[in-house]
Amino acid sequence: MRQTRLYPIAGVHGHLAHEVGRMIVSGAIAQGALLPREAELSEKYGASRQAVREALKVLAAKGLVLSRRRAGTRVLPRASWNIFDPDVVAWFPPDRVPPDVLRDLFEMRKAIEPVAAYRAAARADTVAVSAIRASLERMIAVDKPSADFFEADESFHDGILTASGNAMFDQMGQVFGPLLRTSFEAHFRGVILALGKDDVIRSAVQRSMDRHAAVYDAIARRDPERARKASEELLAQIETEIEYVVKGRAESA
Amino acid sequence: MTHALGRRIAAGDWAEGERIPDEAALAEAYGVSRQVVREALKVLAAKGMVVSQRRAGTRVLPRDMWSLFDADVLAWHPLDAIPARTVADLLELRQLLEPLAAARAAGRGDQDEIGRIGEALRALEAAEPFTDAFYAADLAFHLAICQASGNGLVTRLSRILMPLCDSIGRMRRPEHGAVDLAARRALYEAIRCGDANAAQKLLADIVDEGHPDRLDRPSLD
Repeated sequence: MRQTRLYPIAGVHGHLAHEVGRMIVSGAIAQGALLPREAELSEKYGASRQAVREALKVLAAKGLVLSRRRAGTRVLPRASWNIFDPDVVAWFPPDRVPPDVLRDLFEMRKAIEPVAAYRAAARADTVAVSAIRASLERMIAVDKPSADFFEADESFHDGILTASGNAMFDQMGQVFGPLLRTSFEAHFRGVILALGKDDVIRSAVQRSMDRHAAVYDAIARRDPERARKASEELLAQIETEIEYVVKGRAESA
Repeated sequence: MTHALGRRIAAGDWAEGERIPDEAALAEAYGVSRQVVREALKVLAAKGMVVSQRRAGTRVLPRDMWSLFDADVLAWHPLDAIPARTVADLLELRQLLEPLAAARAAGRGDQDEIGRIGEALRALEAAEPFTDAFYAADLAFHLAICQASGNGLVTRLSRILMPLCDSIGRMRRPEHGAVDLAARRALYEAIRCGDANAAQKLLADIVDEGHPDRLDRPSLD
């Protein structure tokens, strides 16, 4: 799996940045709220005022807060947060990623992944292709919805974006990784709730792996058109399941 | 201080992996306190451009670690040093996302947002071609469409990529042919009338006008 670049947690200010960042993103500190003063934060966390100031700089760089002389530091609304920052995404609690973010993410995936698969089949080097295969093999080895499975699934999709050779797509893979994994988890949790029975879940997982394998095969065979089509079919299956889950939820409510 | 250092790193004043001068030296060179230097370095670290290690000092990270999707990082790049590859990659991304945004904007029909697309269009039609006002209105037109899509990720991405899109948009000169204003007017009408298919197709053609093959840029394929 690719190393996701997160802000170093080592050191007092790094630790504090992660702590306060997570509280803001999870909603424990509300949007628009005024943060406690530097002196208060420094006392509460046993950090120097210098460390507090540096932690707030890090959060400001990610669009989470805005510091003004005299007025203090305020939490910015969610629309200002840099949702493409790996730390910000990682700070979302897995079961509380806002549904509109998941919907927007899927819409973007539908636009980009088939073309990335096409490009990967057309121009990926062997290293990039083997990375995709390694992720697929990990999915097959794990074989059931679990943290390891979602991680392998994420690195499969991330691998295709890297293999596309487009630096912008690659960057999307890097920043969306954690959000993508979270969305898989939310998705499978929904499928399990909606379908319930073990054998039905089993066949949903099997279907998903077959579709992933079809995308990989087309890329490995250097068949761009088939890669595009296989990726579209994979996404269409996910979409059907999402609709099914949403419908199931509406009916059981 | 952050901007000054960011620009120097983006311009390649220090190579990837190279150690930049220490806090004391930077503070003296820029006539600021060490505290200011330290905070600037924290911001650059948060954007993935440098890493500071006790004793080893601060090093420039490889470019593929930088937050490319960060408006500051993009704005710090010198305008004349955008590689052709980046132009092509960006265009490919826009080619996928903007038609989607146009279709969604048409389907959603938020009249306030659509009104803003109309305003940008009128500014574009009124501007003398290839002047500052013209480039600015063209950019505003595309941003308004992304905004009207209602997809928060697309909107956010369009704002982040704006400085880069602006620099690339300004490479467009009269010798590359006239800008098709009628197509932009038709696009606006399609969005206004809720015709998602037409909107999607019209915007795909418009984005294609900026293809590297049609600008003063080496072709890639």
